Amino acid sequence: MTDLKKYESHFFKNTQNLFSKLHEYIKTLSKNTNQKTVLEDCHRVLHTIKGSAALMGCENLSHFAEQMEENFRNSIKNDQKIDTLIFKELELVCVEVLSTSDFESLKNINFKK
Amino acid sequence: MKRVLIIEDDSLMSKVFGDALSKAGYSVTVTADAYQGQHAAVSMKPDLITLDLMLPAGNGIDLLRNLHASFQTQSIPIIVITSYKDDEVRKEIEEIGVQGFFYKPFNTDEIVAKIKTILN
Repeated sequence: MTDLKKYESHFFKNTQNLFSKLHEYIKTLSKNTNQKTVLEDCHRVLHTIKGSAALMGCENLSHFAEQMEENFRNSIKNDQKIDTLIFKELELVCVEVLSTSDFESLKNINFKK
Repeated sequence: MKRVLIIEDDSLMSKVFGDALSKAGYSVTVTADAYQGQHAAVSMKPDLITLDLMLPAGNGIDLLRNLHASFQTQSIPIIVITSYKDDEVRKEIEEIGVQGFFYKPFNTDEIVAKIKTILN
């Protein structure tokens, strides 16, 4: 099996980029939550975070992304608004992730609050 | 040297997988969205394609249908690698026709072994 330790730095930078994008999407949605393309962008980014976090053994992050992904998937599929509390939670997580300095600090974030 | 086209928008996934394939002796090309993937499949005519389902600039399932429908790409074996765990989607993919289906997080050794079986 591939030794994944050498990819930790790449994963960290990649995840920070994805959360940076997500943060921008959330800001856009805060002005108008009915922007379907932005909702789809959020869904796709969360789906990507879920998969790569699982690959790198960041189970907390993967599980969080999966829950959020489902919120967006249901919203898009059923044409329903996402609760503002979900947006607030996601925004706080974006800020927390973007404040981490390395793979270990990212992996150790407690997403269940 | 056999050529593999990876259609995957997550740069970490494509790097991990691409490195494993290169180490196994394959020439690897990566594209990060459905439009570029379709274009690369037609222009390169790779020996095998690995396809993620959730892609920017399109949709992995539609891309799979297009690759099957085009005489230029219909004979290229395709392996789907996705974290989209939906039985209906899997059934749809298998009805369209693929030579392999893996969920993420994947075991690179298993996928490389599958590719070796298909290509050898």
